[in-house]
Order: sequence, then structure tokens, then C-alpha cells
Amino acid sequence: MDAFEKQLAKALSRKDPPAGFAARVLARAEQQKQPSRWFSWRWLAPVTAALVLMGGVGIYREQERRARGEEVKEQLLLAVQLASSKLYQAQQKVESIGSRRETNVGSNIGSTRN
Amino acid sequence: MSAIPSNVGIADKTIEQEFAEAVRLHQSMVFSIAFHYVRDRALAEELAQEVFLQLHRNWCSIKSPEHLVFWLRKVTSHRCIDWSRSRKAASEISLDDAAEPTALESIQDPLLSAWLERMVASLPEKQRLLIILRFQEGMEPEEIAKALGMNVSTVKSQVQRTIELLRSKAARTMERKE
Repeated sequence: MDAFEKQLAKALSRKDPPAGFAARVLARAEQQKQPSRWFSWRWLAPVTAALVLMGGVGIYREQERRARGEEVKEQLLLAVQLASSKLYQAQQKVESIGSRRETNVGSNIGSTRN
Repeated sequence: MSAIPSNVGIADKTIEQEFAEAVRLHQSMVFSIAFHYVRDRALAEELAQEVFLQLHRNWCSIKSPEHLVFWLRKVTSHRCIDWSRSRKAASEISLDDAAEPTALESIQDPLLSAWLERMVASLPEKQRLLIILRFQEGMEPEEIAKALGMNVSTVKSQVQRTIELLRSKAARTMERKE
């Protein structure tokens, strides 16, 4: 270390902090240890009750939503079944009309030839 | 772990007592790093207090007295850099632009020290910390590199370059005075 560097080291020698520094740090550290003000055990019961209530309401709503879904599904299935039976009946009618016409046309041709 | 001098019975101390001892033992080191960096006693105290509060929160992670010193130097350095970065005002001036003492000012020993302190405080953040850790704390480049997360070669070259700049600046000031 040359003279200039020694001078630099001297200029940057350690300095004492302001009086009472350590005491202030310790006081702040003690404060830091205290639980924060917003938390208090007396809030635990009402907060838990509110959470349980909210959970219960949520579960009830979910069940209700599912039941409504099931109801809609059943109604839809019934509607599909009704529609398909109507369609079947209509198809049967169309087929019977068709076969009757064929029979009539056949007998008409026979009588014309004769 | 204990930050307490070896002549004190560790087993008899509570964590709070150990912490209090560590604060008393290392307060001037932490305060001085911050003070030489920010050149403001109130601000340096605030930074130093924050460092010790962080130490209090992380007390269990300190493994030995040597680790404690390393941890304090490292955290103080980082706090200083964070402070610089949060302060957006471009009040920092480069070494070349830093005002030199007027001709009336005699560069005698005590004034040279004050002048050097001012010059160091005007250095860019990384160079400033390198010089503080090297000359205030007497840390080796390897230790500085570890604390600041830099290459040893970078630390060596930057320290050398900064010393040369300060030296030439001081020489110029002396010549002007003569």
C-alpha cells in the first residue's frame, strides 16, 4: 500500500454511529417481534364462523345448480323420446298410405288389360 | 451460532442477547459503509438500522462470527446499491465531473481526507462500494468479489483503475494549488 492508498484508507476509516444507535435498533427489533396489530385471537371465532358460513352457502349453491341441471337433462330426454315416438308414428302412417296406393294402382292396371 | 466474542459463555446467552452484542460489536462497520456511501448521517443510520433488522429476522441463518461479518458487509453493500437505484435523481456525478477543491483549500492531511471522502462519495455506485470495502474494511479482492457477486479479476481491475483516477485527480489539484 503506497502513501496515497494509506491516505485513502485513513479517509475512509470507520466512524461511530450517532449516540443511541444500538438502543434504537434493539427497540425496533423488539417491535418487529410483536405480532402485527391487525391480528387478534378475538377475531378468530367470528372469522372462522364467517368462513364456514360462506363455505356452506357455496356448497348449497353448487348442489342446487347440479339438481337444476339434472332436471333440465331429464326434461330434454323426455322431449327427445316424445319427438321420436311421434316421428315413428308419422313414418308408419306414411308407409301404410304408400302400400295402399301401390295396391290400388296394381288392381287398376289389371282391370284395364282385361 | 454466536456473534459474541469468544471469551463470553455462549450457552448463557439468549438469542436477543447475542443479537444485541452483535449490534454493539458491528455497528460502526455497518454505519461507516453506509455513511461513506451516502455521505449523510441520518440516511446512513436508517440504512444501517434496516440492515440490523434484516439480520434480526435472519438470525438463525448465521453460522459463525466470520459469516456474520461477511453477511453484514454483503447486505449493507446491497442496501446501499438498492438505495442508489431507488433514488432516481441524477445527483450522482462521475469521477471526472466531480468538483475539485478550490485553490484556497489547502490539501493538508485532514483536508485531503475530507477531499478524498467527497471524491469517493462521487464515484459511480459499484466503484464507490469497491473502494469502501477495500479501504475502509481492508477486504481482499476475493472477499469483495464474493460479497458483491463479481469476478475477482473485475474487482482487481476496477479497484486499480479507480485508485489511479483518484490519484491523478489529487495530483492535478495539488499542481493547481502550487
